[in-house]
Amino acid sequence: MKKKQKTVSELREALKTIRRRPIPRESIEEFNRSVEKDDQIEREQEKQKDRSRKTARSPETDA
Amino acid sequence: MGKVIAFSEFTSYYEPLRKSDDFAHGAILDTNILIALTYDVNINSDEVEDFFQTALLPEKEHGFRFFTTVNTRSEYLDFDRRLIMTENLRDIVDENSAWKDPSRARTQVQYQSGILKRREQQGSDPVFNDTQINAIKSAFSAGRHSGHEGWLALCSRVLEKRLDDVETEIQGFGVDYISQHDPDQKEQGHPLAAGDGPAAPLPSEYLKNAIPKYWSDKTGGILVSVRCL
Repeated sequence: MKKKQKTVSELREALKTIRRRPIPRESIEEFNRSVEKDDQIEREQEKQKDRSRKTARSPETDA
Repeated sequence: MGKVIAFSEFTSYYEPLRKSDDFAHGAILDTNILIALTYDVNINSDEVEDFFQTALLPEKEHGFRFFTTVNTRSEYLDFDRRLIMTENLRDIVDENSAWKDPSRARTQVQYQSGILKRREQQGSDPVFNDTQINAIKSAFSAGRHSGHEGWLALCSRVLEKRLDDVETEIQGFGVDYISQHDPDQKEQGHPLAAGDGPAAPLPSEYLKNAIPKYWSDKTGGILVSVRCL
Protein backbone atom coordinates (compact mmCIF):
# COMPACT_ATOMS: atom_id res chain seq x y z
CA MET A 1 0.00 0.00 0.00
CA LYS A 2 1.26 3.47 -0.90
CA LYS A 3 2.27 5.54 2.10
CA LYS A 4 0.08 8.57 2.60
CA GLN A 5 1.89 11.84 1.89
CA LYS A 6 2.15 14.02 4.99
CA THR A 7 1.00 17.60 4.71
CA VAL A 8 3.42 20.39 5.61
CA SER A 9 1.64 21.00 8.90
CA GLU A 10 1.78 17.28 9.78
CA LEU A 11 5.51 17.32 9.05
CA ARG A 12 6.00 20.37 11.27
CA GLU A 13 3.98 18.76 14.04
CA ALA A 14 6.03 15.55 13.84
CA LEU A 15 9.29 17.53 14.01
CA LYS A 16 8.02 19.57 16.94
CA THR A 17 7.16 16.33 18.76
CA ILE A 18 10.71 15.10 18.21
CA ARG A 19 12.17 18.37 19.52
CA ARG A 20 9.91 18.43 22.56
CA ARG A 21 10.25 14.74 23.39
CA PRO A 22 10.74 14.49 27.16
CA ILE A 23 14.18 13.48 28.37
CA PRO A 24 13.99 10.41 30.65
CA ARG A 25 13.87 11.31 34.34
CA GLU A 26 16.77 9.01 35.25
CA SER A 27 18.91 10.67 32.60
CA ILE A 28 18.21 14.09 34.13
CA GLU A 29 18.92 12.76 37.63
CA GLU A 30 22.22 11.30 36.51
CA PHE A 31 23.16 14.69 35.05
CA ASN A 32 22.06 16.44 38.25
CA ARG A 33 24.27 14.16 40.34
CA SER A 34 27.29 15.15 38.25
CA VAL A 35 26.43 18.85 38.69
CA GLU A 36 26.08 18.33 42.46
CA LYS A 37 29.41 16.54 42.57
CA ASP A 38 31.01 19.44 40.71
CA ASP A 39 29.39 21.92 43.10
CA GLN A 40 30.70 20.01 46.10
CA ILE A 41 34.25 19.92 44.75
CA GLU A 42 34.07 23.63 43.95
CA ARG A 43 32.90 24.43 47.48
CA GLU A 44 35.77 22.42 48.95
CA GLN A 45 38.25 24.16 46.68
CA GLU A 46 36.85 27.55 47.76
CA LYS A 47 37.20 26.58 51.43
CA GLN A 48 40.76 25.47 50.79
CA LYS A 49 41.55 28.82 49.15
CA ASP A 50 39.96 30.71 52.10
CA ARG A 51 42.06 28.74 54.57
CA SER A 52 45.22 29.48 52.59
CA ARG A 53 44.37 33.22 52.46
CA LYS A 54 43.68 33.30 56.23
CA THR A 55 46.95 31.52 56.96
CA ALA A 56 48.85 33.96 54.76
CA ARG A 57 47.28 36.95 56.60
CA SER A 58 47.77 35.66 60.17
CA PRO A 59 50.36 37.52 62.39
CA GLU A 60 52.09 34.24 63.20
CA THR A 61 52.90 33.80 59.51
CA ASP A 62 54.43 37.32 59.50
CA ALA A 63 56.54 36.48 62.51
CA MET B 1 21.81 32.53 -13.49
CA GLY B 2 19.03 30.81 -15.41
CA LYS B 3 15.37 31.63 -15.31
CA VAL B 4 13.84 33.22 -12.29
CA ILE B 5 10.16 32.77 -11.70
CA ALA B 6 7.83 33.51 -8.82
CA PHE B 7 6.28 30.83 -6.62
CA SER B 8 2.92 31.82 -8.03
CA GLU B 9 4.14 31.14 -11.57
CA PHE B 10 5.43 27.63 -10.87
CA THR B 11 2.31 25.81 -12.00
CA SER B 12 2.04 27.62 -15.33
CA TYR B 13 5.81 27.25 -15.84
CA TYR B 14 5.78 23.52 -15.10
CA GLU B 15 2.57 22.64 -16.93
CA PRO B 16 4.12 22.30 -20.41
CA LEU B 17 7.17 20.48 -18.98
CA ARG B 18 5.19 17.89 -17.04
CA LYS B 19 5.09 15.31 -19.80
CA SER B 20 8.48 16.11 -21.28
CA ASP B 21 11.18 13.44 -21.21
CA ASP B 22 13.89 16.08 -21.53
CA PHE B 23 13.71 16.91 -17.87
CA ALA B 24 14.26 15.03 -14.67
CA HIS B 25 11.17 15.96 -12.72
CA GLY B 26 12.34 17.18 -9.40
CA ALA B 27 13.58 20.11 -7.38
CA ILE B 28 16.67 20.70 -5.29
CA LEU B 29 15.66 22.35 -2.03
CA ASP B 30 17.94 24.93 -0.45
CA THR B 31 18.55 25.22 3.26
CA ASN B 32 16.30 28.28 3.55
CA ILE B 33 13.40 26.41 2.03
CA LEU B 34 13.93 23.42 4.30
CA ILE B 35 13.93 25.69 7.35
CA ALA B 36 10.81 27.55 6.25
CA LEU B 37 9.17 24.24 5.34
CA THR B 38 9.75 22.61 8.68
CA TYR B 39 9.76 25.45 11.21
CA ASP B 40 6.50 27.35 11.51
CA VAL B 41 8.05 30.24 13.42
CA ASN B 42 10.19 31.18 10.41
CA ILE B 43 9.12 34.41 8.76
CA ASN B 44 8.63 32.68 5.38
CA SER B 45 6.88 29.60 6.72
CA ASP B 46 3.33 30.49 5.60
CA GLU B 47 4.39 31.31 2.08
CA VAL B 48 6.47 28.16 1.72
CA GLU B 49 3.74 25.98 3.19
CA ASP B 50 1.30 27.41 0.68
CA PHE B 51 3.77 26.81 -2.17
CA PHE B 52 4.26 23.18 -1.19
CA GLN B 53 0.61 22.44 -0.52
CA THR B 54 -0.76 24.03 -3.66
CA ALA B 55 2.04 23.54 -6.18
CA LEU B 56 4.74 21.03 -5.27
CA LEU B 57 3.00 18.28 -3.30
CA PRO B 58 0.28 17.77 -5.95
CA GLU B 59 3.08 17.30 -8.51
CA LYS B 60 4.77 14.81 -6.20
CA GLU B 61 1.81 12.50 -6.68
CA HIS B 62 2.76 12.42 -10.36
CA GLY B 63 6.38 11.55 -9.70
CA PHE B 64 7.92 14.97 -8.99
CA ARG B 65 10.70 14.49 -6.45
CA PHE B 66 12.50 16.62 -3.86
CA PHE B 67 16.24 16.53 -3.30
CA THR B 68 18.88 18.09 -1.13
CA THR B 69 22.61 18.06 -1.58
CA VAL B 70 24.81 16.72 1.19
CA ASN B 71 25.85 20.30 2.04
CA THR B 72 22.28 21.55 2.18
CA ARG B 73 21.21 18.69 4.42
CA SER B 74 24.16 19.30 6.67
CA GLU B 75 23.34 23.03 6.94
CA TYR B 76 19.73 22.16 7.71
CA LEU B 77 20.68 19.65 10.41
CA ASP B 78 23.02 22.26 11.88
CA PHE B 79 20.07 24.66 12.11
CA ASP B 80 18.02 21.92 13.73
CA ARG B 81 20.77 21.17 16.23
CA ARG B 82 20.81 24.84 17.28
CA LEU B 83 17.00 24.92 17.40
CA ILE B 84 16.80 21.82 19.62
CA MET B 85 19.53 23.20 21.90
CA THR B 86 17.82 26.61 22.10
CA GLU B 87 14.42 25.22 23.05
CA ASN B 88 15.85 22.77 25.55
CA LEU B 89 18.33 25.17 27.16
CA ARG B 90 15.49 27.61 27.75
CA ASP B 91 13.44 24.82 29.33
CA ILE B 92 16.35 23.64 31.44
CA VAL B 93 16.81 27.03 33.12
CA ASP B 94 13.09 27.42 33.75
CA GLU B 95 12.41 27.71 37.48
CA ASN B 96 10.13 24.65 37.42
CA SER B 97 12.65 22.53 35.55
CA ALA B 98 13.85 19.23 36.98
CA TRP B 99 17.37 20.00 35.78
CA LYS B 100 19.97 21.27 38.16
CA ASP B 101 22.17 23.73 36.37
CA PRO B 102 25.07 25.87 37.47
CA SER B 103 23.75 29.37 38.30
CA ARG B 104 26.31 30.97 35.98
CA ALA B 105 24.80 28.97 33.12
CA ARG B 106 21.29 30.04 34.04
CA THR B 107 22.33 33.70 33.94
CA GLN B 108 24.05 33.21 30.60
CA VAL B 109 21.04 31.45 29.01
CA GLN B 110 18.77 34.24 30.24
CA TYR B 111 21.15 36.89 28.91
CA GLN B 112 21.41 35.20 25.51
CA SER B 113 17.63 34.73 25.39
CA GLY B 114 17.26 38.50 25.77
CA ILE B 115 19.51 39.02 22.73
CA LEU B 116 17.46 36.43 20.87
CA LYS B 117 14.23 38.24 21.65
CA ARG B 118 15.58 41.47 20.17
CA ARG B 119 16.75 39.60 17.04
CA GLU B 120 13.37 37.91 16.74
CA GLN B 121 11.68 41.32 16.71
CA GLN B 122 13.80 42.11 13.65
CA GLY B 123 12.55 39.02 11.82
CA SER B 124 15.23 36.43 12.65
CA ASP B 125 14.50 32.91 13.84
CA PRO B 126 14.59 32.68 17.65
CA VAL B 127 17.48 30.26 17.55
CA PHE B 128 20.85 30.67 19.28
CA ASN B 129 23.77 31.04 16.92
CA ASP B 130 27.01 29.16 17.57
CA THR B 131 28.65 32.16 19.29
CA GLN B 132 25.78 32.24 21.78
CA ILE B 133 25.86 28.48 22.30
CA ASN B 134 29.60 28.70 22.94
CA ALA B 135 29.06 31.45 25.52
CA ILE B 136 26.54 29.22 27.29
CA LYS B 137 28.87 26.25 27.02
CA SER B 138 31.63 28.26 28.75
CA ALA B 139 29.24 29.13 31.56
CA PHE B 140 28.38 25.46 31.99
CA SER B 141 32.00 24.46 32.02
CA ALA B 142 33.89 27.34 33.63
CA GLY B 143 35.61 26.24 36.79
CA ARG B 144 33.82 22.92 36.81
CA HIS B 145 35.66 19.97 38.17
CA SER B 146 34.64 17.88 35.17
CA GLY B 147 35.64 20.55 32.67
CA HIS B 148 33.45 20.33 29.57
CA GLU B 149 32.05 17.01 30.70
CA GLY B 150 28.89 18.57 32.12
CA TRP B 151 28.20 20.36 28.88
CA LEU B 152 28.87 17.26 26.80
CA ALA B 153 26.62 15.21 29.04
CA LEU B 154 23.89 17.81 28.61
CA CYS B 155 24.27 17.93 24.80
CA SER B 156 24.19 14.18 24.49
CA ARG B 157 20.99 14.00 26.55
CA VAL B 158 19.30 16.79 24.60
CA LEU B 159 20.37 15.79 21.10
CA GLU B 160 20.48 12.04 21.48
CA LYS B 161 18.56 10.37 18.66
CA ARG B 162 16.63 13.55 17.93
CA LEU B 163 18.76 14.61 14.96
CA ASP B 164 18.54 11.10 13.52
CA ASP B 165 14.78 11.18 13.90
CA VAL B 166 14.55 14.61 12.27
CA GLU B 167 16.47 13.28 9.30
CA THR B 168 14.25 10.21 9.06
CA GLU B 169 11.18 12.43 9.16
CA ILE B 170 12.49 14.64 6.35
CA GLN B 171 13.28 11.53 4.32
CA GLY B 172 9.79 10.18 5.02
CA PHE B 173 8.29 13.41 3.70
CA GLY B 174 10.03 12.61 0.43
CA VAL B 175 13.19 14.71 0.50
CA ASP B 176 16.08 12.55 -0.70
CA TYR B 177 19.78 13.08 -0.96
CA ILE B 178 20.78 13.81 -4.51
CA SER B 179 23.05 11.04 -5.60
CA GLN B 180 24.79 9.94 -8.71
CA HIS B 181 24.74 6.37 -7.45
CA ASP B 182 21.03 5.99 -6.75
CA PRO B 183 19.60 3.72 -9.48
CA ASP B 184 16.14 5.32 -9.06
CA GLN B 185 17.54 8.74 -9.79
CA LYS B 186 19.47 7.35 -12.73
CA GLU B 187 16.26 5.88 -14.10
CA GLN B 188 14.58 9.24 -13.84
CA GLY B 189 17.28 10.76 -16.00
CA HIS B 190 18.91 12.72 -13.22
CA PRO B 191 21.85 14.52 -14.81
CA LEU B 192 24.10 13.81 -11.84
CA ALA B 193 23.23 10.16 -11.96
CA ALA B 194 24.57 9.64 -15.42
CA GLY B 195 27.80 7.90 -14.56
CA ASP B 196 29.60 6.02 -11.85
CA GLY B 197 32.51 8.45 -11.72
CA PRO B 198 32.75 11.71 -9.83
CA ALA B 199 29.77 14.07 -10.10
CA ALA B 200 29.69 15.55 -13.56
CA PRO B 201 28.80 19.22 -13.95
CA LEU B 202 25.24 19.85 -15.05
CA PRO B 203 25.03 19.72 -18.83
CA SER B 204 24.68 23.17 -20.34
CA GLU B 205 21.21 22.47 -21.79
CA TYR B 206 19.94 21.96 -18.26
CA LEU B 207 21.55 25.18 -17.10
CA LYS B 208 20.13 27.08 -20.04
CA ASN B 209 16.63 25.73 -20.03
CA ALA B 210 15.71 24.29 -16.77
CA ILE B 211 17.11 25.82 -13.65
CA PRO B 212 14.77 28.56 -12.66
CA LYS B 213 14.97 30.00 -9.20
CA TYR B 214 11.64 30.63 -7.61
CA TRP B 215 11.26 34.01 -6.09
CA SER B 216 9.15 34.81 -3.16
CA ASP B 217 6.16 36.83 -4.35
CA LYS B 218 5.99 38.66 -1.07
CA THR B 219 9.57 39.55 -0.26
CA GLY B 220 10.86 39.84 -3.81
CA GLY B 221 14.15 38.25 -2.83
CA ILE B 222 15.48 34.86 -3.76
CA LEU B 223 13.94 32.85 -1.03
CA VAL B 224 14.29 29.47 -2.40
CA SER B 225 16.19 28.17 -4.95
CA VAL B 226 14.03 25.24 -5.54
CA ARG B 227 15.54 24.32 -8.85
CA CYS B 228 13.97 22.23 -11.55
CA LEU B 229 16.40 19.64 -12.76
